[in-house]
Amino acid sequence: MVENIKLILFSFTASFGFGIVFHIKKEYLIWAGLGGALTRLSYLLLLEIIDKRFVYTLLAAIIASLYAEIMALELKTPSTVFLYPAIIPLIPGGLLYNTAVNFFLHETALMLENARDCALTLVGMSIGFVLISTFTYYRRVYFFSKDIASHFLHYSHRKNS
Amino acid sequence: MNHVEYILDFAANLGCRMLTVGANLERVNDTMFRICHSYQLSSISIFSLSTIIIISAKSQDGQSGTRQISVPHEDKHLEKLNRFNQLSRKVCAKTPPPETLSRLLEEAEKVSDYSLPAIISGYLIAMTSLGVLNGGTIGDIISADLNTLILLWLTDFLDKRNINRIVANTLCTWIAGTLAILYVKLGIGEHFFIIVIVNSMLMIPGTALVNAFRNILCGNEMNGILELLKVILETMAIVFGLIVSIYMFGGLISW
Repeated sequence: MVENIKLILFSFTASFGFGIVFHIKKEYLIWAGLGGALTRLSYLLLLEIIDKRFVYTLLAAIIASLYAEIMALELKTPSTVFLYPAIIPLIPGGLLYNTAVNFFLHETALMLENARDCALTLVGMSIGFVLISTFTYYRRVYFFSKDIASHFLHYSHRKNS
Repeated sequence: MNHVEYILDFAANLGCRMLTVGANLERVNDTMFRICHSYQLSSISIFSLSTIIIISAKSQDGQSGTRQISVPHEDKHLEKLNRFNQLSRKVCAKTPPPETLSRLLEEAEKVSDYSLPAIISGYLIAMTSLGVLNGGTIGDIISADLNTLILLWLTDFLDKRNINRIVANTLCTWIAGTLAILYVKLGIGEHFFIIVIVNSMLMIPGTALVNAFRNILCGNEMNGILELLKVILETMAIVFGLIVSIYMFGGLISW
């Protein structure tokens, strides 16, 4: 329990720190940190109930992405501003690094294992992001009727229509 | 210049700036398309990769134009991205005179940055947190933070001299690995691999990796594959630098 709280707390500070590195506005830094903490919390909870790496990464990415979209709606900013810091706890930097190290050390079995885990994590994350960004795109179109037909069919635009 | 050229200039430059500060390709394409569309341009054609943008369109009076612009590499600046996003919304909604568009873009660029000490603090907070998350001791974290300061200076030094990123990564991790061995030898740090993994997180292009996969899944396969190759090469360079440091000085410490 204490270990998990520590992980969540330091995920918050990691995302907060990267928020500064990515030049996020001061007012949004706390929200950037909270995104990282929320992603870590959901990741830890999902890890308890699901043992498939692909599935728990996918669900954690969906939560991170949803958080970024909600914050983007609330604060009228691009979701990327909150998405990048929020996914810091999910990025498989260590796995990628271990894959490359084992490649150079000719540890083929370990390399393949790390590469598989890394690929599963990345595909899970990417599908999670794509699902949410597609969903929010169509939600915008549905609720705010943003001239979707002209967008797809390249019809001439009618202003103020 | 005619109106089409002003609009295409603006759309291409805005897209380029958005890409350099961290926007994803799908959003950039969408923004450029919407800008051209709001000025009633037709036959809009956009081809973009993370390194180049080509856009062409035709006005209602038959004038057409094409712009090709290469995208430089820059660090992420999400506040600028926010400003560019607001600008694109404003332009699409109000369609200001095309001659004024380049001035609007210049104004959007004027964003107050964090001071250098603040940015360094950001890096140190992030690296310290990653050190704890990777199970490092206080000594390991201090070592990783010291390395971070050196790597920041070195990266800046190499960037200013336009040194290729793959070569720069190799050099940076070679120095980081050598210093990590030194810290362990001096008794400051305890775990060599934790120190270097934390420092590698500074250089491993994690968000680029995620974006590469996202591009592939969203239909931008060409850009996705290029980005993925770039990420793999950069990571290999990072590890290669580290392996060289271990071969050269690894005998000084026990693993």
